[in-house]
Amino acid sequence: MNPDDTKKMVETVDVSPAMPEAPSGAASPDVFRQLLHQAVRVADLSNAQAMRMAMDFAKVYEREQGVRKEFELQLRQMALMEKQATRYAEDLAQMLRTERERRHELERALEQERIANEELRRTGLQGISHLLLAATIKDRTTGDHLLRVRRYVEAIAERLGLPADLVEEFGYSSVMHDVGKIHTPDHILQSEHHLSDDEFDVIKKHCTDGEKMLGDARFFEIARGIAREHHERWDGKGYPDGKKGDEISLAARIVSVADVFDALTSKRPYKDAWSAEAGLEAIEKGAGERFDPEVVSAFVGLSREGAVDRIRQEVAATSSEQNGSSAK
Amino acid sequence: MAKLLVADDLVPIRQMVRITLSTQGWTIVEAKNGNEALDLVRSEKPDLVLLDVDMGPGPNGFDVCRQIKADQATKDIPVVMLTAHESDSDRAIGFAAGATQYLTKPFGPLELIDTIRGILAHS
Ligand SMILES: [Fe+2]
Ligand SMILES: [Fe+2]
Repeated sequence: MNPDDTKKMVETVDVSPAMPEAPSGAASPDVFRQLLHQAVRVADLSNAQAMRMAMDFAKVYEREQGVRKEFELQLRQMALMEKQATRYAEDLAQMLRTERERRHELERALEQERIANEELRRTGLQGISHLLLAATIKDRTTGDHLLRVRRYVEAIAERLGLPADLVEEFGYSSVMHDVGKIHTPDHILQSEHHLSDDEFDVIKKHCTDGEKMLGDARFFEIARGIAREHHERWDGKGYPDGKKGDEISLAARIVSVADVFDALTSKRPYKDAWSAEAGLEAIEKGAGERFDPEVVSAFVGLSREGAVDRIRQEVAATSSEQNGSSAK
Repeated sequence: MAKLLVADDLVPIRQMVRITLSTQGWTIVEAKNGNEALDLVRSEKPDLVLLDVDMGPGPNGFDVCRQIKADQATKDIPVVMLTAHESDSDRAIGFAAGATQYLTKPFGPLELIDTIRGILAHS
């Protein structure tokens, strides 16, 4: 509302000859005039409540004084402003409510996601240690082997430029590559002789068995891929599916290099430990055949920098198996 | 940033529009009647004009819109009618006068912002 109009209106009201005979019981015109004056002044601040008040007083005043005509335009404008201010107040309140609800919803969802992740991580890690314990006892593969494989895998993944969370995930997932061996009969696992084709077929099942054991939680997704594919070969001649190239998950391609290198350079019941140089040479020769060439060159690079030797020494220094058990 | 002209005889309406639209970073120029609106359209060359219909003495919003559209220099400036006249015939008059959009009072803040945003995006 134009302040001039308001002033005019109030002035008009002020100077208008009050009807002396107000209906009995009604408040005196003076009181109405003061209240109207007050309310109109506040209404100028676009306050919906005050405008509604002004409207009400104006209506009462009009009824009392019969001055409707003079104020028609102002009353119309006031009514419009009142509606407009109400609409704004409602819209803004609605926006605020929606925003608040949206934020609550988001916070709730985030909190749930966080709890779920936490839970999964805890039970997942517990599950891993149980599985590993069982598999280690049975296979007599040492914890050191798994630790070295994990460290090699993390170093390779980092060198390939993968983000830190993926490096970590590849790392903890790699230790589960042989969990399926828990189902392999002891006499085959611990055989000191070369295996027959039938026996070898039984061994091969540890890949699919491992994948199955790792269930369907997202936490083990990478681990399932590794368990199933860590004996696949780049050239497609591996098992169990004969996948080739990047049909094999990157994590499994990395584990394959780390696992074979560590197996070669460790003592097994049926063989002596190779030197690191001999092991590395065998890995390099396998590039493009057994192994992903990029993973091999990352591993060779690490080796040249001394990272592979460092990992071997560090794991040996913290070894829990003091006198190099026969399982090695 | 876009420059918008708001023509309305009521101060609180102009205030509401100014506060609402300045949240979008737009510059607001105000006119309190039809003649002032026409002067400012020519001198300020706004990117969009918001027009009330009843603005006291002088040309009403429909007249102003027709004159903006008749002038070669200003005919491409989009016009949005912003009025308490809500009948279909008033709408028809507004669009016939060359308005791009027709909003009725009471209008909501989001409605106003979205309408203007849509028009500015297309021009
Ligand atoms: Fe294996
Ligand atoms: Fe292994």
